[in-house]
Amino acid sequence: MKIAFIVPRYGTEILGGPEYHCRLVAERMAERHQVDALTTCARDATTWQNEYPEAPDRIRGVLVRRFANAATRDPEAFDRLSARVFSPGHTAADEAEWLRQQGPWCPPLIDYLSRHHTSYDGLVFFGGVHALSVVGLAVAPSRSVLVPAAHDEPALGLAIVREAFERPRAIAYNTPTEQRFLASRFRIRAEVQDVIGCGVDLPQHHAYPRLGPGASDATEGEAEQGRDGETEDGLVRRSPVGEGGRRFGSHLTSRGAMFRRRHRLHGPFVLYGGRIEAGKGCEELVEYFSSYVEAGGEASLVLMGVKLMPLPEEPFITFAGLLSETERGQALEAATVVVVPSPVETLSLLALEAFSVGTPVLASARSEVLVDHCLTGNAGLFYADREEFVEGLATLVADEPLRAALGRNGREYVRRNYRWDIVLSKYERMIGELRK
Amino acid sequence: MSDPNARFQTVNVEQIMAQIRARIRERRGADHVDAQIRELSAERLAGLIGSHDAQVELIEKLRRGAAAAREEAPIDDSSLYGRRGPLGWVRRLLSPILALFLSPKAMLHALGRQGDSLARQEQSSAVLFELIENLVLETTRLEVEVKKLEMRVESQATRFDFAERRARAVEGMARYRSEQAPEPEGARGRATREPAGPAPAGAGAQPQGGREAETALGADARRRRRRRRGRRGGPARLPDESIASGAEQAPGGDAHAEPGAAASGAEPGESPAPEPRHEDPPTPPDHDDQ
Repeated sequence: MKIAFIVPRYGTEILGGPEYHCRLVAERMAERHQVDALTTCARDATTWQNEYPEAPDRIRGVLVRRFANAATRDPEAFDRLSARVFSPGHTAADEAEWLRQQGPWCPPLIDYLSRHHTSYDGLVFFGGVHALSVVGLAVAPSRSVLVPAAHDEPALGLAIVREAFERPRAIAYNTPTEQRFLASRFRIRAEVQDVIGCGVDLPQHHAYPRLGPGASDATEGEAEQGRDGETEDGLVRRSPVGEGGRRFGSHLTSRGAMFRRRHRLHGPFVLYGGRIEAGKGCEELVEYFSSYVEAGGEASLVLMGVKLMPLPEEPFITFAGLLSETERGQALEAATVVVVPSPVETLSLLALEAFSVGTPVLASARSEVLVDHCLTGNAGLFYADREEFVEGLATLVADEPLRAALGRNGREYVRRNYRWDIVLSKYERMIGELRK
Repeated sequence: MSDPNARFQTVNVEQIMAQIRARIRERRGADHVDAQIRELSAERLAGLIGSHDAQVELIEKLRRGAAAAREEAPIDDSSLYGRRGPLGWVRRLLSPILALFLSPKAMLHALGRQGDSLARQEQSSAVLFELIENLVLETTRLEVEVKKLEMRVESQATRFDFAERRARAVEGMARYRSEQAPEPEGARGRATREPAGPAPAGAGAQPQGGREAETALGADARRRRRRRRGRRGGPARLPDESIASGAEQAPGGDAHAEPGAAASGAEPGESPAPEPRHEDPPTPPDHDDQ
């Protein structure tokens, strides 16, 4: 099959959002099919300035065709226009202008789609509330798949967006919550609909036997599991054996030991990964975590990712920086608890990745998707306010058997719903339906 | 946790969350207070809005606002021509003639837009109402909290006053004792330091042996007093007592000079401290003392 993925930005530097989701799916699909990524030359989603060269490129098996944007965004003018468009009494012309300013406004890409759409078996649009999808879905709706990645936002009330959601022949939702939400807002006419989401790698869970007894940074439960033998989750863990049959020390073989050593982390720690900004709930997280520490909590907070807000210089807060995928995995595995404070999530790869390595999650209850993950998977707790955060975190940190049980449930949840082979076969089936 | 697998099978996030919330409520002691606060805030909101029937209805309408807006039927042809039936059919048949006088499509479009706008307004009103309701609730909660804090401050102030008065009483007692102390100290000092010297004027009638006996009796009485204080003071006073008892066993039999020296770190040959009972701080008076 020849498939086109249409997304506003594409590149290994872009982490998070529908762009990251698109890249992960495209790279996996490229192993089995001919995959093109049709995107713009923009790297910054706030300005849509052309930064990448306008030329075909191949990234991890995916042929990336970039097209230059015809307009950049003036944030102040856009905010003013948004205020007008999101209030009653605006016109269709206002909505069209809003869409142009929302961007990315890329007529060459739409031209390319119009000329070449017949050469593709499926056009997969990621994100429903940007100009590429709204305009692009009108080119060939019968062979279009929309991955909406939608959450409750004012733009969904616009007629122009509503029409776009009613066009595609297939819709791939991230979660059942998203499907329910969109069904309540729009008259979805897609013939093919499925909850697909994004795949997550399930690492082999015996690479890091946990700490042996007496190790300084082991929790009680971890220490118990350090010995060879079957653990509570039914997995056999063995201490790696070095040359001459010598067993490595516990500081080398513990779960996520490398990450702990590199960042000098001792004792339990709570991990956040992603864009570190107030919009992602990080400000609230830092505030709540300070309350946890004031209440006698002994864990520390580690934040990894791009720092877009200042962090207080507290001894219990560590900024780990932007990590590679391997290190990211180690960090998730090393963490006692992974916290997901974002109030707006459409899938939350962070939560799914934490589940996949058996680390329990403490999520914001304001995100329905996260609560759904926690409840359906029985794999994490959630908090609605400061007290629930403090109490929930204290419970998770103190109760190792509970963490182990939640971790095992999380792995099972990912295995059942978000394994790559399941996700890819669902996409293949959906695009296959479009060819009929 | 003997069987972790059993724990795994039984783990239930909803249950754990319920337990966490119960613990929080228990800590706050707010189980019944929460309901009371809601009641109080409802009354306050009613007071703010007024008791007019129309206004009460309006509140109810606002409460149901968002849901009601979604339930409304969409505006289409049937809104203009009525349901399908003979009359509707005739109306539709005659619609081209009607179109000569007015434009039904434009009317439908305008009605649709108005409907949309009304629905949005109702939704925003409902959201605003919810916001105000929550604000009133939070204000009421804060007010209750402030009252609680005021009461705590008052209670702390009372305790502070009490502690201050007690401290003053203790200071007063110490001052009184220090004023009382020099006279017996002088007598005792003479009795112990000048055992072989001439008898003072006031004590001339007493023989030497009698003075020694008196000193011994006085020492016994003091020892008994210290023991009593030691018992009253509890284990925290044991070090003082040990110092005192060590002093009593010191050579020379000067029960006052030695403890003072021990407590202040002075050499045994030095003169005794002016505060004769310094090594043995006064027991804080009972509450009745005040």
